[in-house]
Amino acid sequence: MVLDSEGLWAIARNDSEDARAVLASSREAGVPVLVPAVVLAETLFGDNRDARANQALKKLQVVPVSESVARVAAELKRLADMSGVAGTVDALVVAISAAAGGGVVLTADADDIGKLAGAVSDVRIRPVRV
Amino acid sequence: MLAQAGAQEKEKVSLTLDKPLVDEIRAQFGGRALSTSINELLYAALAQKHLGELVDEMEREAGTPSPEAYDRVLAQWFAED
Repeated sequence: MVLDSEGLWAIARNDSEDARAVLASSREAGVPVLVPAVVLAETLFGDNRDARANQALKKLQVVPVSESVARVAAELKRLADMSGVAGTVDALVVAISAAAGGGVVLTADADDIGKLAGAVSDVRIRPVRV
Repeated sequence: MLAQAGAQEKEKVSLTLDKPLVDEIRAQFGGRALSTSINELLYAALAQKHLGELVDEMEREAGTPSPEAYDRVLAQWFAED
């Protein structure tokens, strides 16, 4: 399971019953929960407003973006006909999910994540809305 | 948060493990150094332990999710094309 920016904030704020259900389901199924490092750059403020997110991040796996993941993201963006910084981050989130073997992306933007996931050919990725 | 394996400082330790466990790890990760395989498995196990702690903390603060929340989430998780 991979978190995008809204997925991370939903967990940090702990105000979404569905986000808790996704995390609990991941725990039950032994599914790792990954946060792409680029999501931190998009999400965090770099000051004390990050306290709750930092608390959650201590218990989550932050994964770096490698060159091969970045190249897959570029291709996904092209295939999904997307552009811009937000599209780039979403594409990296989906590319990391694909590299991890597929699964679920916790997101508020199920349409864009779903579009990018649809461009992945070899594994199945589903957006779950928070 | 656990640091990723790879460039971390290493410590040599001596462990005694069940032979069937070692045999299975060798079979599953054939061709790789046993230390590398066990290192990765331990990272994964600790990550799941931390995830469990996070879920427990969140549920203590805001309650356990309702069956309806699980239904909503799992319907999306296993949605067909």
